[in-house]
Amino acid sequence: MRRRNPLLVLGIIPLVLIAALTIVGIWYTPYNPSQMRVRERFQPPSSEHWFGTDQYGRDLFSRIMQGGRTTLAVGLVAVTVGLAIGTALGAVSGYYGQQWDEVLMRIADGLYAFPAFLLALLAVTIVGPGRGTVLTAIAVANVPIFMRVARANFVQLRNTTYIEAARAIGASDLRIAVQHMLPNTVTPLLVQASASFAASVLAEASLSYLGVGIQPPLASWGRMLREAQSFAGLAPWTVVFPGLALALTILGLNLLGDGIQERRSEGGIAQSRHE
Amino acid sequence: MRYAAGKVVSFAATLFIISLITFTALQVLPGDPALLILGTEGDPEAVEALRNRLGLDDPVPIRYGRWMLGLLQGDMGESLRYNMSASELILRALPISLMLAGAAVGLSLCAALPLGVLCATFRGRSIDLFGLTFAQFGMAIPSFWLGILLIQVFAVRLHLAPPGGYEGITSLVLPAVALALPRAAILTRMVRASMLDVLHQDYVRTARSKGVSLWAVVFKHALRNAGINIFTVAGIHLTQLLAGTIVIEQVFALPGLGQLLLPAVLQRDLPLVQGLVMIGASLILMANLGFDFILAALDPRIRFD
Repeated sequence: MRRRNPLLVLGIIPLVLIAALTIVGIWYTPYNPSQMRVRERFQPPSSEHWFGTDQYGRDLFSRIMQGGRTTLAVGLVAVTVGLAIGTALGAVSGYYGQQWDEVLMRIADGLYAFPAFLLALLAVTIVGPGRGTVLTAIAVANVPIFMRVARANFVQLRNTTYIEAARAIGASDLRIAVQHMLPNTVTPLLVQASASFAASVLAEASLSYLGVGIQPPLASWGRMLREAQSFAGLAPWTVVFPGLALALTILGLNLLGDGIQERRSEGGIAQSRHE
Repeated sequence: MRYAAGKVVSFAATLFIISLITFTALQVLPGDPALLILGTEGDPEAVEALRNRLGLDDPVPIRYGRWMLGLLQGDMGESLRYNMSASELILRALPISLMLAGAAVGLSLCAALPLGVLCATFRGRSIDLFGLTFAQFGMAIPSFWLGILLIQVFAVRLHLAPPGGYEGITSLVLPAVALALPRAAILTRMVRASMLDVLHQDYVRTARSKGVSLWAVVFKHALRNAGINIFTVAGIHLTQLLAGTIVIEQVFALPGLGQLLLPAVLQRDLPLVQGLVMIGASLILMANLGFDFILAALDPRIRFD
């Protein structure tokens, strides 16, 4: 019997809520998120406008639904790319060791030493601000992190008896790595993925808040906070709700990561392999 | 000694690699930096003038050498936007950023050390639950959002602090709090985890069973050993402190490094961007080097490994 895992549940609830709102927002929002209604500017939250309206009279709830799309998509893609490339390189590094390991991990260390935030700002200097720039910079920053996690696990598994057995019956390198070693690396990678997802969402929001990330007309929670800051005294709801959406997303992702971690330490490796 | 020398060499090597990446990214990848700054539709005469000003007619290795030589002498070239020495601009902004970052580190340590120790000592009790909840929320709340809210409450409504700009040390209180919260949250978890590791060791049980009081064990035996762990992980988080400082300076309109860097990035003020990236990276690396030395002083195992 498996014990209930409160962290996992607590993490999934806000994530499902925000993901659902965001996905519904692709087809339906209560109001057109970019339509300006000057006469309805700075409306406080009401039954008509749940989260109120902004300085152009745009419905905040609809804008948060739309902004979530950009924020979550950038985070998701940046983590997936970082996970795929980082795991592949880390696996090669950990599986073959020696000069592969030496060269690949040197590069990873170099990337790691370069502060990711400065890397993103360098990218903005060259190609200008925008969604692609931010996405690429965050993805690149994620690669060495996953490389380290994958490498550490592959090094650990390399000398276990079951891998030795697989090698003895003549399994190919690729088969051993993908069929036998990768499944045992999934949990630590997932834990890292949810932590990195949270970090990527925060990074995108910070860059967009600074004005070097997502540019209008695209909506993003960070950008919304940037535009709302000067009206915070007049219309506090314009800064409260986008920030709340951001905080709930990050909270959910962190709790999810903690939950997966806890489940692993309770169930042990054997259980996670057979799920 | 060999340990220290090794660390200094790797510090210099990392800085050299960072300088290469920065220089390549800004001066080699875009082709012609003058066109990058002025745009391809720029007036040919203006482009030519800028090329002369930046010394772009020399080959790339010479340009890199000249930049490096200047850097070593504290000369980063002239900012294109302000028409004055980039080093001077940076030197003027640096103290504010350093004070802000330092205050945030101090604050987060003051909150996280006692809280983390309490959580670990009373694991599973209500104080532990409180500490863990605080940590989760602290990590989830973006510091720039917290900053905006703090300005509204304490500056605009209650008039307890200036709402922005730098008018003296009181201007740093709210920004430091906003910057410290996420650090304190992560640090609390680190302190708690390290303490839990140590509290399960045999020597702690031995000390307790021979009658040493709980707090004597916690402070004399456990915290000392956990401290090594905490210091090791804390170094890694310095990088995020830099990013956080830049963002928070924007929230509170503080004239620090961030206020120089952002316009420089958007207007492609290459000498200033290059200088700021180097300063930011070397600050992080220097702090990490400092951490390594402190660790080696605390733990002889590291020195003789």
